[in-house]
Amino acid sequence: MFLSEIESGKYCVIVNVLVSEKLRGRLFELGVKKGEKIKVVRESYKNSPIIILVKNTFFAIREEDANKIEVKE
Amino acid sequence: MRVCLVGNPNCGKTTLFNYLTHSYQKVGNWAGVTVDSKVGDLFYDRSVKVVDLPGLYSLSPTSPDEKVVVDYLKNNALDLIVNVIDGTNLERGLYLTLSLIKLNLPMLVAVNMADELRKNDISLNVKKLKEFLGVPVVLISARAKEGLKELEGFFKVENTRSKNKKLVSLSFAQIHNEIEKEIDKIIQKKITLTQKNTEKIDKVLTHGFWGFFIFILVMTIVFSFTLKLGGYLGDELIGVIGKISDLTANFALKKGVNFATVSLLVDGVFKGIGSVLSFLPHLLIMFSFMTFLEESGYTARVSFLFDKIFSRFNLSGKSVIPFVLSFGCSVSGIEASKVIENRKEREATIMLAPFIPCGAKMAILGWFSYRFLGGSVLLALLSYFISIVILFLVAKIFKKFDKGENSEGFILELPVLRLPRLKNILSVLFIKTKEFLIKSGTVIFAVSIVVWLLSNFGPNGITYKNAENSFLRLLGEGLKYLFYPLGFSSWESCVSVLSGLLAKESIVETLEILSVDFDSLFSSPYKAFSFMAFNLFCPPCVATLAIAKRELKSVKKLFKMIGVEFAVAYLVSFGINLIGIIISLDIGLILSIFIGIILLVGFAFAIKRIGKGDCQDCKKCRKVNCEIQNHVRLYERIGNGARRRVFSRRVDGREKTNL
Repeated sequence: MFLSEIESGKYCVIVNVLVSEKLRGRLFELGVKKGEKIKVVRESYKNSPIIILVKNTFFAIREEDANKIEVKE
Repeated sequence: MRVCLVGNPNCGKTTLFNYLTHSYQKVGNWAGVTVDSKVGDLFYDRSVKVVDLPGLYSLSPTSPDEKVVVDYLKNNALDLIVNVIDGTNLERGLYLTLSLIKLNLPMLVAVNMADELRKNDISLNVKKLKEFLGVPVVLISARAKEGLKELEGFFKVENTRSKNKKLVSLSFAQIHNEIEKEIDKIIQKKITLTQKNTEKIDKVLTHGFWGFFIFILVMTIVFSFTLKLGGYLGDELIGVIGKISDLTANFALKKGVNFATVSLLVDGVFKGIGSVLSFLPHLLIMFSFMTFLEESGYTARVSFLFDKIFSRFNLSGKSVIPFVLSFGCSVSGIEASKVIENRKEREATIMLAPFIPCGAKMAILGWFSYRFLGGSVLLALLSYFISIVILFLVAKIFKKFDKGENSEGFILELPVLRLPRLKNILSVLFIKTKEFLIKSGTVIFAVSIVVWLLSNFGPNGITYKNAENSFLRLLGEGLKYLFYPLGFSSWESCVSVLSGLLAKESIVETLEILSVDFDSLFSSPYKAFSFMAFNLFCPPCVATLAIAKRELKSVKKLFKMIGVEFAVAYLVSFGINLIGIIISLDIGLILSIFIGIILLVGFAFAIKRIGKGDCQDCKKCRKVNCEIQNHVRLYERIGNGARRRVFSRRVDGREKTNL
C-alpha cells in the first residue's frame, strides 16, 4: 500500500521510502522515515499535493512522491 | 567574540536576532525569510558579534540558503553556537542539534516558543534535555521576550562543549534512534488545539474550489485597497510637494538666485522626486498586506493551492511567494525565490518574476491610465491580466526547451496559522520606507539631474526651456527608429524608456521633467497602451538585474532573461499597436475578420468532433469505438519498486493497463 492511497484523516506507518536519494535525505530529516507513524490530513484531489502530519508539523508533498512511499495502516 | 544563531527554518532565529541586536530585520511565518547571513552587535555588549544564519534542517545542504550556513560553520572560527529550537517541534529540531554537537564546538541550546508550549499544554523537561545533550539549555520566547536575559548571561560562560561524549561520537544514522529513545522523557505532547483548528481552517483554505475563491477574494481586497487608497494618498503627497516646490522657487527668486539654478531645483529635483514619492503609499500599503499574509501563514496555503497548476509549467507552488512579492518589488521577489530547492524551478521563477508588474510599474500604469486612457481602471486590470497570461506562456516555452527528471521533489511546510503582530508589520514598513527613500534619494535624484541637464543643454549650448535643440532630443530621435513599429512616434517617449532601465519610476519622472504636451505625445490611445505594455515587460531596472545575476549565478542566463523580456515586450507592444491601427481603419472590416476567425475555429473543432466523437461511457476520451467500460485508478510499477498512477481499461473483466 502506498501513501497516496491513504484516505484523509487516517494514520499509517511508513514501511519504505522509494524516492530519489536527494529527496529521501530531506524527508528523513523531517521525520518521514521507516517506522514513523504519520497522519494523512488531506488526500490528493485531482493530482493536488497531499498534506501529512509528521511530528506535529503539517507538510505538503506532491502526489508523485507520495506514490513512492510505501506504508501500512 | 562571535555568536551565531543556527536552527530550523521558521523557528524564530531572526526574532531573537532582532531582540539581541535591537535591529529590525524582516520576520515572517514561512520557511526561508532569512536567506543570507546577517551580522549585528549585541546591544548590551558591543564586543559581541551576533550572526543570524538562514534556517536549515541538517548539515547536508539541499538548497542554496542552507549551503550558506554549512559553509559558514565550516569556514569561520566561532566562539559560540546558539542553537535555536522550535519547542513545539522539538524532535525535528534535535536532529540538527545532535549534528551540531558532533562538530564539538562550544554551544548552547535555546528552546524557543515557550509561550506557544504553554498555550498548547506541552510540558518540556529542561533538566532532562540538559542531561541528554550535555550543553546548557534555556527555555525562551523570542516573541514574548521571556528568558532572554538568562540566555545572554550564558554567552560569557566558558567552554560549553557537550559533556555527553557519547553524542559526539554518534554517526548520523544513529542520531534518530538516540532522539527517539529520549524524546518521550523530555516532552509530553498531545495533538494541540491550535493544530486542530489549523487543520479545520485548512480544509477550507486548501480546498480545490473555496481555496481559490478565498485567494481571489483576498487579492481583490489587497489590490483594490492599494490602488484606491494609495492613489488618494499619492495625490495628496504630490500636492504637498508642489506647494513646497513653489515656496522654494519664490524664495530663491526673491533672494536673487539665477534662473538656471531655480529651474534645476523646480523642474529637475522637485518634479522628479515628487513624482516618485507619490507612489510610496502604494508600496507601503502593498507591503503591509503582504507581511500580514506571510506572518499569518497564509502564503504557505497559497503555495499549496498553486503547486498543482505551477508544476505543469516547471514552476513550484513555492513560486507563488516570489511572484506575489514581485507585485511589490521584483528584487524582494527574486530574493524570496531562494526557498525553492529545485534548481530548474528556481531559475524559471527568477527569470519570470520581472513579468509581474511591480509597484513602480503599477505607478506607471496608474499615471498612464489617468493621463491618456481616461482613468480607466479596466485597462489597468487588463494589463495585469495580460502580464500573468504572458508569464505562463513564457513558462511553457521555457519548459519546452528544458526537459528532464525532477529529482528534488517538493516539500512544503504548512505552519500553524497565527495572528500576525502589529509590531512586525510596522517594522517591515519602516525598512521598506527607508529603502525607498534611499533609492529615490540617490538613483532617482541622479536621473532627475541628468535628464534635466541633457534637456537643457544641446550642441549649441544652453537651450533653457527649448528642448527641441537639446542633447536629449538627438538621443530620442535615434531611438525612434527602433521603436517606430511600436508606435512611439515622439522622441520624448523613447528617451523615457531608456531612463526606465535605471528605475522604472524614472519613466514618469522623465516625461514630467520634459513637460511635454501630453495630448500630442501619442497619436492614439492604442499607442499609449502599447507604450505602457512595453514598459511593463521590457527588461527590468538595474537593481533587479543585479539581484537576478547574483541568484542565477550566470551571466549567460542573465542575458537569456533580458533577451526573452525584450522580445516579449517588443512583440506585445507591436501587437497592440497593430490592433490599434487595424481598429482605427474600419470597424466593419474588423468585425467581419473576427467573425470569420471564430467560424474557422468552430469549423475546425466540429471536424475534430465528427472524426472522433464522444465516448459515452466514461467521458474521458473521445474515441468512437471505445471499449473502455470502467476507468479505475491503477498503479504501474516503475523502476525500484516505485509506481505511478495510470488509468486501466477493464475489458471482459480482465485488467489491462493503458495510459
